[in-house]
Amino acid sequence: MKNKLIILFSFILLTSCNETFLEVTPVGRVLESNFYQDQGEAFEALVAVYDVLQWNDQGGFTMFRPLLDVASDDCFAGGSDASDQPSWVAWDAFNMNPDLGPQWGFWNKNYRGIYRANLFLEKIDGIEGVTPQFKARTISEAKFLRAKFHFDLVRLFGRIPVLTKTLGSDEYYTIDQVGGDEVYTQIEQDLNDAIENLPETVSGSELGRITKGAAQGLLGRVILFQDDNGKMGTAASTLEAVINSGNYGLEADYGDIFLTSNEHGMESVFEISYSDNSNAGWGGFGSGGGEGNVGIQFVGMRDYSGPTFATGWGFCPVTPNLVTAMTGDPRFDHTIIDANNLQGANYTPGYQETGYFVRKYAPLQANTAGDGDIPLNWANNVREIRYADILLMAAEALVRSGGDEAKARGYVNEVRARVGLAGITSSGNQLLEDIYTERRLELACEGQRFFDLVRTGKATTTLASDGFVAGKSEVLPIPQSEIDLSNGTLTQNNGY
Amino acid sequence: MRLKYSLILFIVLTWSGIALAQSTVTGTVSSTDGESLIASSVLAKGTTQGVLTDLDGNYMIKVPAGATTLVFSYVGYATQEIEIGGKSVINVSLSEGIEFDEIVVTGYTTQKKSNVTGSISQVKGKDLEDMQIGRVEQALQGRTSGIRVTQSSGAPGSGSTVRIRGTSSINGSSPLFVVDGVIIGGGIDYLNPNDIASIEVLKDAASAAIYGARGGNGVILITTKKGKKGSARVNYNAYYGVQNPWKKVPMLNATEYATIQNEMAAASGRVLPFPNPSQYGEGTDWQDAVFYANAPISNNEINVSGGSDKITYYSSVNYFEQDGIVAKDKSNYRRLSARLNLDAQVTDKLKFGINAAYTRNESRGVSTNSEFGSPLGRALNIDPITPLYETDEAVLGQAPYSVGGQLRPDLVYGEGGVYGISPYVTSEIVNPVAASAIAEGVFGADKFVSSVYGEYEIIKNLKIKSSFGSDLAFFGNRDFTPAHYLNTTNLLDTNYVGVSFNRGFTWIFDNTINYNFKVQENHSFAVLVGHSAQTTNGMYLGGSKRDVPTQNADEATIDFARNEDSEQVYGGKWERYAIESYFSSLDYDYQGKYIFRATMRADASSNFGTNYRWGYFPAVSAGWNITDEAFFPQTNAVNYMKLRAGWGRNGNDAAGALEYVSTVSGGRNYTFGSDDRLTNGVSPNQISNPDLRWETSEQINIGVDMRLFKRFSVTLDAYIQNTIDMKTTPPLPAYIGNNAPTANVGTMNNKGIDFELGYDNTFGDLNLSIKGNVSYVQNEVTVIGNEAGFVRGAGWGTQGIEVTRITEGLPIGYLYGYTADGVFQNQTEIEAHTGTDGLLLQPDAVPGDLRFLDMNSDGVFDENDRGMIGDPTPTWTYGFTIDAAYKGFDLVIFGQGVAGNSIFNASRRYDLPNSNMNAAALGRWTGEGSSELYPRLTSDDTNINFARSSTFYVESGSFFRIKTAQIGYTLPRDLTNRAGIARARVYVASNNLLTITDYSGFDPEIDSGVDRGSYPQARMYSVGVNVTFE
Repeated sequence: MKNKLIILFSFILLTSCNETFLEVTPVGRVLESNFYQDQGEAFEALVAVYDVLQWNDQGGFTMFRPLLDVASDDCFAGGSDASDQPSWVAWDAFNMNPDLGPQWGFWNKNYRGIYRANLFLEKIDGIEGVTPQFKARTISEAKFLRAKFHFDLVRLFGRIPVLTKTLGSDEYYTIDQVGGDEVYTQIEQDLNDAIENLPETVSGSELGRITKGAAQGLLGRVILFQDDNGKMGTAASTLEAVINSGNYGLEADYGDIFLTSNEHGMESVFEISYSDNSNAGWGGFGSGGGEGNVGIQFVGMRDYSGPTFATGWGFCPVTPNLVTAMTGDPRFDHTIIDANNLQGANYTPGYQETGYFVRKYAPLQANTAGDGDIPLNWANNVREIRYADILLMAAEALVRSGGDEAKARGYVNEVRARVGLAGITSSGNQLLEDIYTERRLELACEGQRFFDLVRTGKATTTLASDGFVAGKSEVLPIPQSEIDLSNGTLTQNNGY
Repeated sequence: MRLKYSLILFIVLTWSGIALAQSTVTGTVSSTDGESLIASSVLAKGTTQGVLTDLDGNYMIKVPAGATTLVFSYVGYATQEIEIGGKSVINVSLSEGIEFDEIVVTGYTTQKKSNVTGSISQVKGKDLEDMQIGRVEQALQGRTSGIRVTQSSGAPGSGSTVRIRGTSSINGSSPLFVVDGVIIGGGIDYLNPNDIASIEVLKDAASAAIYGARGGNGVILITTKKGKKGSARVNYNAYYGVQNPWKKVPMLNATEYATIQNEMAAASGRVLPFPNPSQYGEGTDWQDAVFYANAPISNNEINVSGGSDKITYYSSVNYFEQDGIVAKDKSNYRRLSARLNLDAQVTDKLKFGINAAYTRNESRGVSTNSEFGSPLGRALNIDPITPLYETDEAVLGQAPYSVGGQLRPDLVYGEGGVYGISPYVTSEIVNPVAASAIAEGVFGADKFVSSVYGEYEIIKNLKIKSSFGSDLAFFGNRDFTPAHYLNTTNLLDTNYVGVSFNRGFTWIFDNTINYNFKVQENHSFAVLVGHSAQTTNGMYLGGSKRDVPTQNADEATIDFARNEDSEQVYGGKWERYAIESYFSSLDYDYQGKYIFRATMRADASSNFGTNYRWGYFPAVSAGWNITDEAFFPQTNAVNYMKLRAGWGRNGNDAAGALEYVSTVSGGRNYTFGSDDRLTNGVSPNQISNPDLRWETSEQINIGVDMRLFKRFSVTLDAYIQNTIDMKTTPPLPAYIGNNAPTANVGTMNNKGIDFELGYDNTFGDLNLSIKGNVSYVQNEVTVIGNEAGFVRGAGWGTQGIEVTRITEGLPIGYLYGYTADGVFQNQTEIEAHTGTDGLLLQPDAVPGDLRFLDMNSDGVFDENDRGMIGDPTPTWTYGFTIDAAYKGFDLVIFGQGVAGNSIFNASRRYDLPNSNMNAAALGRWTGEGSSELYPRLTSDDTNINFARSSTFYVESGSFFRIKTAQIGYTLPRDLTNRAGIARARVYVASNNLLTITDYSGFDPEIDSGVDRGSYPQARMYSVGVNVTFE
């Protein structure tokens, strides 16, 4: 009997599985512990940081450039009706609340980018077989990107957590929400670090990677945004370094700037890349997966049929204010579509219809994607910093730092001369005002106007009729969910 | 074997009886449904004189002098005593299911019911026969206590939510389904309900612990039918029925709609959009347009069973077909299934068998319970002015139908011409009939489920058993979307064809030893030791392409499509899942009076890292058959009573593969280079948690089983269940920068009472049986484990307004929002509505707006005043079945209901101001005293009466439903026998004959508690037949 029992129990034991039975082989992914092993993987980790730059689908449609135009006096929200994109309508009218508005998308996007940049910076030291040149350059790129994400956050939210490392689980609620110098010091340090080791120029398959000029241009913009005349000298010298580098120039024809064939052209200092090759579909929307630019689809005319343009969704109708400001300006036709004067075309008017649409980023039939869902696959790059902007920023910095006004006028007049306008001759405050006017006209519908108004304090009056409230509307509310989850670490912005 | 013995006994008893014979009684013993009961026992009470019935159920007994009563009994049937009273012929029909010593399947083993110490409910296959149900889960609804089945959608083939003793985890609380020993993943809709012999529901932890790792949510054991020795029996069952919606939701007609729209515009100072409302008349009734009247349902089934001494068999073929009551031809379900169950006694010691089933099902589904594009959601929201078909040439000549004077090429056409396009209601709310017309997706699945076992008896009562089960499924979709133009945002220029194939395969290999023995006659032991290994693998492949030169779905294939650039292919495999287990059980009883059971199971799941891979799940339980005690008074009142108590621990490995470890994935791309080259980027998917482990639930159960006054059976259980180590994804602040990991930090608590009551009696020729059950359960999420103490729940509408939440201290998934307290009738009331500090709570409100309460009493009305405004989970669930048989007639009435739950009626698109409204809007506030409930209507809703979650939308979800009512007639046997038919029955039946509810939406049966335009269940009338040949 005893023997029989032993046999019986060995019968059970015999059926036991070996250890590998419970081990799972990853499919379509890699264990983190097996990754970050060589230079190729290091580069893939860096690309993931770049990836976040082009996201525009976090928390709904949160395309940075067109939304900033909506917030400014260049464009209205638009769309099919008031309920099409409530968060756009809310920012347009400055009646966002902690639950309504584009804030969560921006917040999440930029912190995702910061996490990936910090992770890269933490991993790069442990990766073997990496050349010193590769390491220095990629660290600079990661720092540039981290600075860009922080800069967007501080401009949008004012007081933010500044993160220079990935957070361990015991650190989640130990961070501070800070504003002003505490943020800018870090941003400037990242950019100054980056400037040292970034290449002067890139070409061929590297187009789109960050250059020294991009970092200098962004640093100039960061300093300008602080609105501190004491720092304008540094801004001027930084921006003039870009001018003096000889790496950039103005396109001869203003209309060529936004041609897709002219991406990464001579005037492009910092450009965010999009592609029509990623076959993006609605199924992946919201996860940052696609590489197309849905912002293009948004500004097109609804149900458009006719030559040249492709149909869009009728957002960002251009305000009469901008139309008036640009009437007679040689840049008008390259900036604004006068829909009432189109030949052989018709379209469905949308919400806040004005008859005028954005031309610079308009969807064109020639650019329509062949793959995936068309709205998600526009390849148009966003010209984040172009040389004309560098010239105007340098001019402003010179004037505000008490520097050489003649030189400043010279920079402005370069921009004006390109489109055949006479030079300006003003000085002092009038010169500064002329520079601001020139910025609006030259950079209209490029997403610069809102922050220009905010940083110069002009928003209080200029945007008052839109609902702008000084001391509140400069920034978005912190997303309510973020406050709820922050365990008291974050407090809401003033007025929300 | 038993038959042979019976015959000998029959002969011996018959002959031995002659000498003492005083009188002779003959007759037939049959079941209440007319089947003759072979070898049932007939005993002259108070004597040893007894006989067994023959193959036709006939008996003849010589009754000794002094005996006045005959006792008729049969295993599994209620024993009957009948006075002889001078009769020479006594025919008896025994009713099933009341006898206590039934066999109960307990997982790997079976037990006599009197020895069961846990809480196990049983549903007999007989109760499921001839029910017009598509899926097995529905068979359980309302049948037993402690189980809640919610069929949230009436769409054919759609599944139900099954919860045993409440929701025990926020990570999937579906019970484990085990069919003939095979753990079934991916749904049990492959099973033909008529193939089921019995369903056992292991409710308490002590019972389910033998399935340890995955018993945390309860276990449902399904045993399919087996053949019985004897000549072949052939059953043919069929029914045909028609289905209709049991309710329409009253909506505004066109004139009312135009009037209300005008009023809204006027209230906000805008131009009246409809100067002459009455010109629109009644307008379009979109519900009529969307519903499919008299949608057919039918079922045809044939089964053959029988066997010899050595081999028994049961085989069936079934074809079930159901069209949905919504969107004709676009919502339906077809199932073809075939089964063979075979058992062979090869030698005295060796036995083997196979249960094999093949099922093909195909379904077309429409989106359900969605505010973004379900046919019913659209029907409730689209304006009634827009016609179903636009036939006015003048209108067709303009936008949106025409562009540049030409009709658009992609307009959708139906029988009556071009489908109408609403100029008022936009976004996803397109013409629902047009949208259905272009929905061509079909889901299909082929499933093979089989188990093979062998059992060898080494010495008497010591058996080893090996079984190998497999579950192989091929499934996928065929999609085709024709080019279409539904409105400005729903259009497709080039048609699309796609296909996907998946293959999933699970095998499970169980080996057990069990030994039953007695020590000194009074001590009975049963020991089981076993090992189990299971793994699941799968792969998938799919592709799509655009521009097929046809608009006909049947002709569309990828190869036929022409746009080469659009061709896409994808494929891959599943990450393997594996689980290994050791288990054992020990059963002991003393004289059948004191019963004790202990089980232990150890499981290792591939879902966990080596830190916490193994989980250990013990359980103990005990029972006391108190009526067997000598001291227990023998009264007529308590015929039988057993007390039970148990404790056990179960697990739940509801984690994904490699969830415990940090993985990185590609596809985080960026575009570089002059040629827009996509460059692969890689980053971690989420923050890791190597300590991820089993969720564990512990449960204490006490219960009592009783039989009272010989007619009543009572089962009462009370339990407390605590889930610990519940996996939650504590949402982290987004600034952390990556997806939060899951962690075992949550806890949850369920407590409840299950009560079952049965009654059966015979009044002359009338057999009556009534079974009822009531369950009470109270759920509380005790710890979420994140800093915030809650998890955001479901969102509503484009703004994603939070309507449900999971918060510590409250029931799972409660409805979340503001509390509205009537309508401000005048300015005085607004000014009287002040906070604790005397300031106005709603200073901007105007008369007619909703009054919202400052729930946290902080003196301001803001988002912090949101809280629990309802619980979607019923506190009470109940059901009853009445079975009656009178001569050839039989009647079944089965009713079921829930109480104590709320529904958030989210079916209106608050973000689309022109969407249609429920007719309740006619009772809106129009001036002082006009309404206390429904606020004023305006296009400029500054008080946000509508675009927020509040009690305004919350209604009671209690309902009672007669699920089934059926009357059958069995043709007289002498009539049918002449035609060679053993039994023939015809019946008429109805499903959902009556629903009693206050809920204003389509159907109160909604699991999530949020109604976004759900697919209601159908009211069905059917006729059917059952024919048996022997």
